[in-house]
Amino acid sequence: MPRAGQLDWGSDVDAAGLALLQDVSVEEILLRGKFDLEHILSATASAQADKRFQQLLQQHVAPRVQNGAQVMLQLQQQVNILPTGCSSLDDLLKGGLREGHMIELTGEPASGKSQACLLAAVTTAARGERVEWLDTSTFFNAHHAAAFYHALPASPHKLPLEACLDAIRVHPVQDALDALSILEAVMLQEQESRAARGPQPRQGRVGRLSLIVVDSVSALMGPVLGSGQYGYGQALLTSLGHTLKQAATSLSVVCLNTNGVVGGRQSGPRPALGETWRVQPQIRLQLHREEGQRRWATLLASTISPSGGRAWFQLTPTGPQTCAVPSGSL
Amino acid sequence: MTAIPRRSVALLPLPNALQHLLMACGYRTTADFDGISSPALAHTSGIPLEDASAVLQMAQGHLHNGSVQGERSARALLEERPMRRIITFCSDVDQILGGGVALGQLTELCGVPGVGKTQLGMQLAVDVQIPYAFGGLGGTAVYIDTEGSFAVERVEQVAEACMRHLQKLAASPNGTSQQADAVSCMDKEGMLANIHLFRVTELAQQMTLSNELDLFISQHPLVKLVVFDSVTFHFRQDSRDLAQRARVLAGLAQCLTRLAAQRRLAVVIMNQVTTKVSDNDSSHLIPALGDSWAHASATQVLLSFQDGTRQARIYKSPSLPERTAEYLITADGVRGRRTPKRPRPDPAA
Repeated sequence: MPRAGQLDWGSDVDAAGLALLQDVSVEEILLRGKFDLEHILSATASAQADKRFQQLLQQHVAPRVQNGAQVMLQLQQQVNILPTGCSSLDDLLKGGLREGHMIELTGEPASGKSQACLLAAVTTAARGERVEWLDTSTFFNAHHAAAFYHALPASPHKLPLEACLDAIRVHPVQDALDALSILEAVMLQEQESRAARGPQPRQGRVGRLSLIVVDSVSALMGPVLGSGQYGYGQALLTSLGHTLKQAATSLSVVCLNTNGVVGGRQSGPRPALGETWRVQPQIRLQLHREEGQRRWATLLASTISPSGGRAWFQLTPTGPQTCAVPSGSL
Repeated sequence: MTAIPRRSVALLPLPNALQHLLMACGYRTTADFDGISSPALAHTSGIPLEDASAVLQMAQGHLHNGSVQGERSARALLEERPMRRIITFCSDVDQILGGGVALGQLTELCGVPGVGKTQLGMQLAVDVQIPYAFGGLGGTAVYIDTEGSFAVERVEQVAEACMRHLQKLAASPNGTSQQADAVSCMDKEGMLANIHLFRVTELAQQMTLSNELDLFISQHPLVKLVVFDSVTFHFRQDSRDLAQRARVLAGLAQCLTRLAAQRRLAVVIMNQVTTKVSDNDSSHLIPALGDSWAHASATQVLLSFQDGTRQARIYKSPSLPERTAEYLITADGVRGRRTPKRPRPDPAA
């Protein structure tokens, strides 16, 4: 959003007026009263300046409009689906992780959430697309990542191990504010990098950020929620969700996060972090533990498909792998 | 294309008064600070120059010269020299832990009273001191005792047994001169002095300690192990405000994780166990303190009695398989079983 002074006022505002407008944001002017530039420019403002302001708003600030058919076309042509590396999970997600979306994996400890994220990260990075991994509890294990890499199917696009691991950037995260700062830096860096590469880079998607992982949001937000400063914790939670969603949309990437579960014998475990957080991810899967290494995932919520359905997989040293549906289950 | 979301000034870690002032001047997000110098900010907002510099530094966040501060590629992490671990003196337990207790992360030992959590803690506080020449860390330990279970005479016993073992190794044909030198410098007073004991009896003390630990460790850079024995004691007493308990525990977990990661030391936490009843009415032991604590530690080890023997099982780990190992508590400390238990001869044969 340009600052007021950066817009092209032409001759409707004199030099002195422009100087005053330098430090004012467009939002400020709108908030102070309906297009009342007199507040800022004092006596020299004329009706012309007001009119010019309305024109500038239309040009630079007003949101773009698209009709449904255009949006559908855009979806088919531009939105990519990232495979998770585990075919049963991909089937549950109707193809895989969708760009532009915030997706959550929730479940009990050791249900396979971090492993599923790691497999998705390695699968993505093996194509040369970048992954930014925010690690709140020092869970990231590079040896594991290397083991997962070796089990990926061979393909002409598969980069060597070093290049694949180079494409995964791990950020240790101390707390929620740290996470917001890191996310902002990552997004700004990617924005600059894409501007430098140009609209149709020769190397295709290699080097482009495609996946942001936050493991785990519940570990991050635990200390802040429920304190005496109720509003602050909730504001932080909302801000984090908003940031991840908007990052996904503005950069056309996948934002994948893990979350714990809470509760109970009566209702069964449900995603942690309460009602405020429940509405943040657009797609949510819950992972469940069975005996041994077998796990299953179900779709709890999705803006695209109805919930339900089950994906069965095994945790192996080379990552979650699809396994047969056990007899007697859905 | 929607714009990149920027952090709101309301959520920057600044004093409230400064936040309100900045927002009143029209600064709402970090984007509003782009391209502004500290003198310019100080001038427009009327705040002192140092405050303006601090605000701008905060607004800049993690982005410096086009790169994100603190990031490491997975490749760099993979190529890191594997860190030494702290052994338990029971080789089977060391094996299921991947060589011993790892640095840089939290390891949780969960078990019923009497199964040997404190014994293991004291053993580790001795073993962290094993000199570099023997493959150890040559470090010191912090022991946080909330239950009054730290028994100094027992630690002396364990330390002496450790030294005897090291002396035998140094004197053996494979022993090196560095090992002989190292062990000759060791004595039991020195080993006891290398364990920094904090006795904690109240919740407030424990919370204060969490804040002070980083400073203490920066003043004692040889510390390579922090033992927290145990985390459940205080929180078992006041279970009325569960939300507060969960929040305090989460803060403790974050503090210890940060300590482990930034100072590259091992943090070992003792926890109790509770019983979980499954849908089919079978029950099994799980770590206490519930879901809010579950994701705190990287590795959880469940200690239990099975048929009169002590067993350690990996309950949760990002990389270790769920294996089980038997361990013993002997006069010398924690040890493994030298020979397998002989099966009782069949009286009918």
